[in-house]
Amino acid sequence: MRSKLFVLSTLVLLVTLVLSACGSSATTEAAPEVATEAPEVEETTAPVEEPADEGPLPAVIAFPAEIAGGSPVEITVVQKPADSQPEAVEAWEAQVARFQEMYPNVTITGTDYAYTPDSFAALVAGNQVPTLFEVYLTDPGKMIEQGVAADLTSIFEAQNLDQVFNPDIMSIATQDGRVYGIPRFAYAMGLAYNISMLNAAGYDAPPATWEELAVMAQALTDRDAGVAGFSFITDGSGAAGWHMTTIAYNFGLLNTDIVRQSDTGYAAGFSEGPMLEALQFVYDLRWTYDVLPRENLNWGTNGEALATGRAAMVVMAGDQFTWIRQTYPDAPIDDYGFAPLPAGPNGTSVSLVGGNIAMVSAQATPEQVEAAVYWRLFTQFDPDEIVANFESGASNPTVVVGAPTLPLYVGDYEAALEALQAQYANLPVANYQLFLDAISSGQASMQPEPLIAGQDFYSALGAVVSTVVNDQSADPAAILLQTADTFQTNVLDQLR
Amino acid sequence: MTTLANPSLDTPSPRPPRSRNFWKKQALSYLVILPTLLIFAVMTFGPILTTIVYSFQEVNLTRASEWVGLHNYVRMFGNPLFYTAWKNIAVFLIISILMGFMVPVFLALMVNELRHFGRFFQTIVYLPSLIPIAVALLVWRQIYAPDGGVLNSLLNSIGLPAQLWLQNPDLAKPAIVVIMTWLGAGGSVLIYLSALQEIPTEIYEAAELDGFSPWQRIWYITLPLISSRMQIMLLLQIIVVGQVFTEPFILTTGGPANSTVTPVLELYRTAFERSDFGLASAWSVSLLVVLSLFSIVYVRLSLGRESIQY
Repeated sequence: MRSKLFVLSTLVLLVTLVLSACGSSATTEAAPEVATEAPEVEETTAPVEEPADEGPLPAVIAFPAEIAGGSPVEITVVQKPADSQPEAVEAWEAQVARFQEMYPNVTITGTDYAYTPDSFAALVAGNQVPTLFEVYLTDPGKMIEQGVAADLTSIFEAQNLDQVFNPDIMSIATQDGRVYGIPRFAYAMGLAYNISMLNAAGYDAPPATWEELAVMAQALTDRDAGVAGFSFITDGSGAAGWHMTTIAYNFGLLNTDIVRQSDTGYAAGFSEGPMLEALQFVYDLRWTYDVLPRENLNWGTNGEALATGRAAMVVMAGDQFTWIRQTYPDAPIDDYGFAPLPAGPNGTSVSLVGGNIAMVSAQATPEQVEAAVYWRLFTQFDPDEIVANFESGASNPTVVVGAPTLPLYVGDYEAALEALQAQYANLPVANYQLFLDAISSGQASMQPEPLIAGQDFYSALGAVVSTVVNDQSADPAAILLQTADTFQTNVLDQLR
Repeated sequence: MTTLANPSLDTPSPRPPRSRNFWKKQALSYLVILPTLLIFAVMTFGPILTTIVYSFQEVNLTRASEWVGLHNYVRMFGNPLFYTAWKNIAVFLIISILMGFMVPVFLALMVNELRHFGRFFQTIVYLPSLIPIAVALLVWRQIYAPDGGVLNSLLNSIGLPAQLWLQNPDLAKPAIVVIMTWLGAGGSVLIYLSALQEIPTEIYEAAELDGFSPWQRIWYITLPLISSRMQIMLLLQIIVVGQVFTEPFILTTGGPANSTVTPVLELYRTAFERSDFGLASAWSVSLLVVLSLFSIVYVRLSLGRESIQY
């Protein structure tokens, strides 16, 4: 057992090192060197804690001696666990207490609000945006443009944070050289599969191509038992568009082609070509191969289908394994593997990359901005906090370590963090090796989400997916063309 | 046939003529309700006016909005989904009237005829209205589930093929109307029951002496006497169905194939998913115009009930 753990840790460490060297392939820039020592700012701001010389993680933040000059400051922050998870709430409150030991003048009120574009618009309209909030990777641009997010550049510069975070993700939180967000996590889409089901059907590996997937899914589909061979989100919402985009990336769609930017404006570029091929394939999955669930699944029910054995192969982001573990603690988690998505017609597998970015309300005072940012950095970088969180996994079932996500940081910090994660992993990390290897070797390339009106695009495409999988008489080409036209008029022509 | 005017039922008592002292006497009353009236006006007409103003603007939630004239309306009319959504509402209305309108009338008649357990069944009928709608819809999702759902299991047990209730564009609307009827019937039954219980028993006794069968009693006495109530309930049903949102929002997300997209659902998405409050307000105004027409008819009917002659 010990040797297995050692091999596992070594593998993850190796993957991490390779990943760190590659960065994520969305841009070609090399990842800059990481500040492994405390940055210069430490000399001017007396740190509260001495950075540990030989700790499990390098100390990258020099926490200031005081925040807001010691005057009282109140902030509201997201990510407080829901009351239904008492252990997690207790851990969160203990963490707040530790932060307040350092900064007694800061009062933190937590909310379990989870970002969705629709609910957030209501918060903006009602002037109720929490001081610290989080948005999807598609949305920082919108937040900055609407003046909802505060400028965090001065703190980032003081702490040299631009050298710690994965530059690909940082670029999404940056506009005109100003930083507006703190990356929280990043995922890449893959294919989750039920190892036992595949073995029982005579397959010892997940499909390498989409054609193979269709054939395998047919063998795995068992209508009498309510088992679908393959599943992805088809509920007609923006999430369905998100999954459809992921599939279309594998058919050759480029995120920069979805909306083409020119001097004269924006043009929808998804009405034909790879998107149409992918849509036609989805149509065939439903009406020729008949391998999709009868029900139109959403994010939760799609994950649930895997967790409850009602789907054999599922398009999923790696971080959803955490949700499965938390939501279905009795599900046979060791039975699920994670692989890169099957390769498309041109032979490559492409993974859509997304995630969350923390932002601070533009309505916050400079003192609140400072408190909110340091609170976020405290939970994200304080070595003791990270270790305490991992260790609480023993008694807190909601602490899940080891989901196959993407490196959020670069260099030594990332390497050390992942080594630590491997040590505390309570997910079967070895089952995700196909995915991690494919990402680190470049066999699966990565593409960011569409950044121009991304959520609007997902929303429009979601309705197309709903039509194609529910209406046999639907003509994918005609629907896609009409949707692109409407998207052009109603969304793109409105952009400035 | 006896000719009778029934003052207790549908004929409002004649209004007292306004004397010169009317305002003198009533001034205090009006003064007392003035704050409530003002709050009501601000809370009701304020949002309506704001919506109308928004519909001519490109709305920015954090900065000043810009006037764009009829641009939002041009976009709304240029969107094929606008017509789909209103067509869906028309079909929803037809199905809901055909399938659902008479259900509470029948239920009320049955409960009213019961000599025992009337109150018990009245409660049973009203129970669905007490269940939080989201919970009720989750239960219905299980009933309609394609694999292992209650309804399909029942169909299978009697040898009929399973159906895709919420996934087939042809079935989704009727399936949702069934839920709406189940949810809404309870309230309507109470209203019909109150009307039925206002009918003087002497009329029925006279009819029985004249040899009327139960069906004849319902046809010639009960239904005519509650007909004005039925007219109003019909209009209310049109107004409620015109705003259907929760069922498609939770159960179908407007699908399958946009077959359950409704104006309110689309305006919700436009406003809150795409932050396009100007366009969403134009949708709201279209809804306001259509529903106002029915509301005006409703108010006129409620105020102008005429005495019924028999």
